[in-house]
Amino acid sequence: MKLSTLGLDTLAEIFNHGVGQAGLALSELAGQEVQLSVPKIEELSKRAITDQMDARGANRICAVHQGFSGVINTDALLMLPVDQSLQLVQRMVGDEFPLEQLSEMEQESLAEVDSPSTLVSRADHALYAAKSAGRDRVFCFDSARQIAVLV
Amino acid sequence: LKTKILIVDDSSVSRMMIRGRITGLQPDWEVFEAANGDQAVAMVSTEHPDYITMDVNMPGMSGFEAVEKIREIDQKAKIVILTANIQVSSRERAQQLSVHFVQKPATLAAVQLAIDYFFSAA
Repeated sequence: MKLSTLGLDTLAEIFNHGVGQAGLALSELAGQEVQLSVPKIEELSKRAITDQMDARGANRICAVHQGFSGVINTDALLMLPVDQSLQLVQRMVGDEFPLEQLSEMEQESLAEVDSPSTLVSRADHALYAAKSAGRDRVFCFDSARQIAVLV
Repeated sequence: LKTKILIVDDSSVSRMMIRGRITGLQPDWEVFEAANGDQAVAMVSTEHPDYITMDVNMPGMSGFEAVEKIREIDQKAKIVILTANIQVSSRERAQQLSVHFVQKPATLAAVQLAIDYFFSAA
């Protein structure tokens, strides 16, 4: 089923509210204004998403996955190129922690992420494991064992 | 003479929500819509609305830039910034422009706040 123009517009507006809240939190943490662009919404295949990220030169990405349940049961995935995610971390923790140390931490946490397509594939695997297990389950992909595990 | 209100928002669903709530609260008002800053400035010239609700993040001219342009041609219209961009900088910009600030989403309560401001400033 394809979403209507109004349906897509509604989703964009909902996302806009979420980003507005995130922008407020981030601006308070960083102590400066965060410029928000006009939201653009597209219905894309997973392949098209990874192609777009590849085209933007984002070979390595950092992703935050969060589930919603209650009124709506779904998942949201926020993806940032690794370079920008490191800058974000630096902004949040301030100057007390040197960039090198953060980079090491980042390397540790992102060591298992090879490419956007690998990440999407792993997220997909964990998502279907969670769905199969029933409601209110959170699964994480364990790359060492190459399986989705219940958190 | 009917009270006129102009809703400026690039989101059609937001315009629909704001229009629906305004119509429910103030059925006698005449409601106009603009999807961007340029349209808004043009409509202010032709329709001379009494009140304006203005989004901030829109393609092309921002809501704040639109307010500045509107003020060049109309100093009387009461304007409320109705936006999801709720950072302090955004609120301060609204204050600098002497317009009221209301946070989205465009719930009934948010639209009521805007109308309260219109009446208080009248």
